[in-house]
Amino acid sequence: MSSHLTPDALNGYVDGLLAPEAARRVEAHLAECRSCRLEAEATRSLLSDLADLPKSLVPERNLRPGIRARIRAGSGAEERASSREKEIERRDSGGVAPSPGRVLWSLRYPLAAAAVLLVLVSSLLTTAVVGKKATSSGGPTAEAGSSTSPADGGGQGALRAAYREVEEEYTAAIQALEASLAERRAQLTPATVRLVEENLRIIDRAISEARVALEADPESPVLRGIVEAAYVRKVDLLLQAARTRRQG
Amino acid sequence: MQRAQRGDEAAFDALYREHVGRVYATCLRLSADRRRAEELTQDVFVRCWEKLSTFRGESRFSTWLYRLAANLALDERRARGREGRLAQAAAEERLSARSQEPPYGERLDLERAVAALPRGARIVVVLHDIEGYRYEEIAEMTGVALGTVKSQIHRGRRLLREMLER
Repeated sequence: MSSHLTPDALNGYVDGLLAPEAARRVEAHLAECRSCRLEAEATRSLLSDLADLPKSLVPERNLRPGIRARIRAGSGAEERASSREKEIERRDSGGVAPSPGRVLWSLRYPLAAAAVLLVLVSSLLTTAVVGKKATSSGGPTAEAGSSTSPADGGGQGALRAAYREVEEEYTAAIQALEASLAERRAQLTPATVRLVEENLRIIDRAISEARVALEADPESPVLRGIVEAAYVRKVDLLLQAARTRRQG
Repeated sequence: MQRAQRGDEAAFDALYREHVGRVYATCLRLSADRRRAEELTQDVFVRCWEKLSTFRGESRFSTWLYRLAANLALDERRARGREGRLAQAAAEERLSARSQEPPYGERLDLERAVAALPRGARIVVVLHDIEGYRYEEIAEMTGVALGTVKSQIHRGRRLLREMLER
């Protein structure tokens, strides 16, 4: 019997890559050499196990909001902006380059929307939780201005259980956008910064109120929708602010 | 697909949902780092969005996307430079020390064993034995000689068997 198979010959044989004549020589060797035969069988078994590993694995957190935020904030964002945004820009600029005033005005859209959102959230919450208040001694209390971080306490267990994925999704996107905005803060005029901060305060208050209500009734699809709508508004505002540059 | 190529984000979301698991699995196995794999997966889909208009359909979209994922994960390994090499040296040292220890009481599962492979061997095992790329393709993707790819597959398979037989 000749010496043992080389790694190339053994792997080539197991992978099915050898020419017919070379494969026959390997088979002849394997028939006589127990050591190489065991080696080939063990390698085949390993390859079978590797092939059986799942081709798809689920990430522990939802990556889509971060991707969406990066796409919208990225270099291609302007070309891919929605037709609605383009229409607003055309209307406001009269077909010319945006003026500083128009940039400021464009931020008034989310400000108005944020104010509407707060009113909407408050009225929806009143409707959604009124029944709960009648039966619960510890009914939800809006805490205007409190933190909207998912890390804060109080009813967090219930909220996490019911809404963890959505909350984490938006929190991750918001953190990325806030970091991006912080880097660009020097490029914004003081008036724009004030406007953005005012927007954020209003939206945070809406989120805070909606979360308090959701903690009291974690299974309510209506409340989940309200919280999510508030997060969407915040993401939109941050995206718009992150795209704004000082002009003039 | 055509809608996503025209910039329709809802259509792109559908592509994301269909393929994120496979892209993440590739990134996780090549990087052996969960957090980095999440970042890489996001990079892949952002790059996919940017390059989608250039996809002409010569291959299947899934083939194009998974190749993009593998290439980005490999680029990331190269970009890490000295830091990556030092981390890799430390990992190989641990692996070498482990091979002289008495057998473990508990059996390493296959996924963990793959993650514990030295970088070069892991990349080739993941790309060839799990993802199904040919040796020639791996040589092109990694920029190393075909002979090196084959020696790494031998090394990787041998180390995996050693770890799993403990």
